[in-house]
Amino acid sequence: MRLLATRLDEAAGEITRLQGGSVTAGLPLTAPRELAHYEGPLRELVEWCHSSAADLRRRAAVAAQADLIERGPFAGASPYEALKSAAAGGVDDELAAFDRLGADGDAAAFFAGLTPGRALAVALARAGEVGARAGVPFELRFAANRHLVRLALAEAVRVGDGAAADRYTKLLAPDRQLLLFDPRGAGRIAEVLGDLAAATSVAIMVPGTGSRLANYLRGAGADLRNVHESTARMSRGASATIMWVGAELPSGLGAAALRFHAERGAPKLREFTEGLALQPDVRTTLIGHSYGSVVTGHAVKAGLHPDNLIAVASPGWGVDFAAELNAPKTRLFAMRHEGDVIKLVPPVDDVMSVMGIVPPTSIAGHGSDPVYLRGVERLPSGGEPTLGVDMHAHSDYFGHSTASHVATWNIARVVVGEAGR
Amino acid sequence: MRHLLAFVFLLAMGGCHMWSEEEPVIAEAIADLDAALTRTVQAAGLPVDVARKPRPHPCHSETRHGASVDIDGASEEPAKTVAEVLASWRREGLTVVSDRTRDQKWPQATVRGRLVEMTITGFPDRKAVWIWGSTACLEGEVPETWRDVL
Repeated sequence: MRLLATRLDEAAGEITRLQGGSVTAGLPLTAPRELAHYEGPLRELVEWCHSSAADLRRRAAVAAQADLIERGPFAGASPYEALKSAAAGGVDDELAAFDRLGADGDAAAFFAGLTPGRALAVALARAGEVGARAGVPFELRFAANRHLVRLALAEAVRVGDGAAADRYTKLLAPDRQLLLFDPRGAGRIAEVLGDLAAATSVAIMVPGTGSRLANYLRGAGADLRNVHESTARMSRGASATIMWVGAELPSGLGAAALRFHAERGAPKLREFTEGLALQPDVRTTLIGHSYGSVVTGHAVKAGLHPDNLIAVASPGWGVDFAAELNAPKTRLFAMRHEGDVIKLVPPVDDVMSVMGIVPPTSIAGHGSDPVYLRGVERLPSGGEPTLGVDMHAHSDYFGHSTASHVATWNIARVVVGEAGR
Repeated sequence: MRHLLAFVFLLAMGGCHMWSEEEPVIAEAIADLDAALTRTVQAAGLPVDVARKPRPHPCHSETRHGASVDIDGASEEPAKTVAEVLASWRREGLTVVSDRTRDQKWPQATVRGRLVEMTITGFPDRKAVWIWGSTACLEGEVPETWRDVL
């Protein structure tokens, strides 16, 4: 197909050359008058050659993706057939209709009108648009994102990036369900454990400073699994847990002192969560660890109203009073080991004030410590009582040391509605 | 002033850390966990060959690894099983982090060793227990049998 596309482009170029100039600009002035009636058909022929070549290249790209599945270690007959069908023009009308939907179109209604095979073909042929799109059935989003991981794996192998290839190979494990995947830059990922469509309790976790795709599997992804192992057993499988790394998080402590990343990430978190379109009777819990709690606080302030909001080892929700969250129906919780170093980190606004610098409040500082806010229930963390500082305690809520099981369990109790028992 | 004091304190902590004793490696912790879980399975009265489901334990580190294992088993009296396992852990000298063995809905106990943490939870409504063991995050070579997991 690529060869044919090249030939068509060459043919278009040859026609143009023989006319002594661009066909689209009209026949040359020197052309005999009797040839004038050829001008229109020639222009159409050149345009047809170019558009056909572009179409062939698009189909060739899709067909190449199908070949990738065929050759790869994660072959699945359905994705392969779906992509072959898309490459051969089997879903041209559906793809054109999907493209016409635009950003605000009703993706749920669109996919509901397709047979499963055609829906999968569209999802895979437009994986970049479908994987993160609200309204698309979860199973199709999983399939689209899995396809994006496959493509990322192929690219990692091609360029010899062994660490990335290993990471993507693990992300292609059969039990992985991704609601978002984008390997560009620091990367974006959202993974869900459990049956999201049937769950009666759903938790959405946001990790802290330094979290990115490259360290996801041993960091945030493992945090997710720890919490879900508890909630799934408590709820007898009726819970789903999501880890959302859908916005860039600060890479270091300096950037973590600013609200910048939280203010940019919060609308994305809100859009992602609302895009899940969970039923009103589903209990929702938003869990932010460290800087992730700043993101969740800003998202709640901006109108995202989960049933529960949990701040874990938080520098602040971006408010000085719980009422500023404007979420009176949201139950608020906070957890922090007594030795967590974050207790020594006062709000940046305070530090700068002490130094005589008054920062613009729109970019610095995270407000008051949620643990001390009125109206917030403090959850036991299982940490050692201490007046000192444990340098590792800030990571000891979902794992890291030998002091995380109690914290994880108590967070899980909130998720399934058993807090305060 | 309080910020200066905090800074000095952090420096002191860092200095102490530099001269601390050599840290154990992940292989040692995994071996500890494996042995501790074998004893726990025995104390819980579960079959010796009960399935152990391995997974990574969160580390948020490029160089450190942590291991986690889940064991689900049947128990006619989960609350009693939890109490018996906790008693065995006490006899081993493990530090009790949490004792909720009298909880009606989910009797539970959590203990901590030098390199491992273990929790047993009972689910009386379904006559089941869940044993969760995990290691601290440590450096070192990952044992062959865990390389596909970590």
